[in-house]
Amino acid sequence: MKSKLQEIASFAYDCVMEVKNKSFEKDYLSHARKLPSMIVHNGLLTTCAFIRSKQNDDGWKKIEEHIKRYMKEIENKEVDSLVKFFSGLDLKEYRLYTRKVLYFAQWLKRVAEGELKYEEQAE
Amino acid sequence: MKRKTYLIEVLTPLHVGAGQGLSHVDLPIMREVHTGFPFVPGSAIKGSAREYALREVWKRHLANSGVKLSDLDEEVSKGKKLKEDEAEKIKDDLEYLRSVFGTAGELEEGSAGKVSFGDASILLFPVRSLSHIFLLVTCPYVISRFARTVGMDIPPQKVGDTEALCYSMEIAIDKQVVLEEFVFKAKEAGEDFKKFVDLLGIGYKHRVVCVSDTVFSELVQNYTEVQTHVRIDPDKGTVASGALWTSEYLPAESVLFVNLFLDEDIEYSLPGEMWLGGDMTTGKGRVKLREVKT
Repeated sequence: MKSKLQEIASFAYDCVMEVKNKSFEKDYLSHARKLPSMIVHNGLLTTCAFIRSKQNDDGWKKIEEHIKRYMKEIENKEVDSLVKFFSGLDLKEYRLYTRKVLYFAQWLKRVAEGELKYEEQAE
Repeated sequence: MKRKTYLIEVLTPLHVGAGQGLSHVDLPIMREVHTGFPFVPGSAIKGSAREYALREVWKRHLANSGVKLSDLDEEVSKGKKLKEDEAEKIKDDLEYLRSVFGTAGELEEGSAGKVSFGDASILLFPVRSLSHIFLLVTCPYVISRFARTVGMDIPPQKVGDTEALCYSMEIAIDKQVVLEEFVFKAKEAGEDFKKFVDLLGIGYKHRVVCVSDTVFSELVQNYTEVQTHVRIDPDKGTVASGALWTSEYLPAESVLFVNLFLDEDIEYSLPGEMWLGGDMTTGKGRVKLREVKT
């Protein structure tokens, strides 16, 4: 028996470890740090659309992949396009998924800050 | 025990901090455990009110005599700090401050204060809107909680997740109310709700709307003010390494309510205006306090 927190934390850990020592490790870390506040300030849909527009950045590409994997493995939803899926939801469900993805994003950020290489950069 | 109910109108963003956060905000505000609603603990209100009262006495009698405010503070709680003649001069004030705010155990007649300061709960929360810049949002749970703690009888409001009960229909556009990015069906509120809003005596009553508990909860958890701060390295003129953080505030225009309970033999009123919470030197936390008769 595991709590939801343990489940999401360990899932986020697996995602982050996939990125360790890859060429885009630093990019992934810097994006993962911003992800939770992006979701809170701009909404889930806007954030997903933004991530989609950054397909030439391997860091963002990986983050999008991880959100899709989260939807599949934790929420049992096979999602082809995040924007299409989230924009088709009922408002109540959309709010619920915002909460859930935000929670996952917070864990990505926490784990990434602990596991990935940090490069000093002006924010 | 006598009860006094005060409205706290937030004039500038208010930060009553909960320490280090681990989510998307580095310095979050305090929230109730069971609701996630922002609140101001009674200890914060009592501390600010006590400092205000002490400062008044200090300004009147001691400011020019080289006595520090902290000396008066210690004299009130523990005694034996001021010179005998100074203490004698403000004997009545000392006695009053001690009876209202209590004293530490060191004082011979160490005692609890005769005024009990409750926690301040959220009553109206400002949310950006297409009409009227912002609207003041409340919900059935908040109203019933207010009614319960002040011993009033307000029938429960019925409102669906997609509706907004309006004090005044003039805020609706095409029978709709838009809060942040959410659209609600506007409905005229009933007489009970209007009476409740009238009782509060706020200047913005036409802006008050009642949404469902779920929606309200969503709004107070996700639409507080989050400010990003940096510290600039004075030599370089750029952001010092690692010196970027976010701080959460209860937005200006929020309204909270608080109950004070007083022993029968004491008279005490909160000041009409004071500072609460942190970041006072950058203008945060100025609040207006007004008693409401319920």
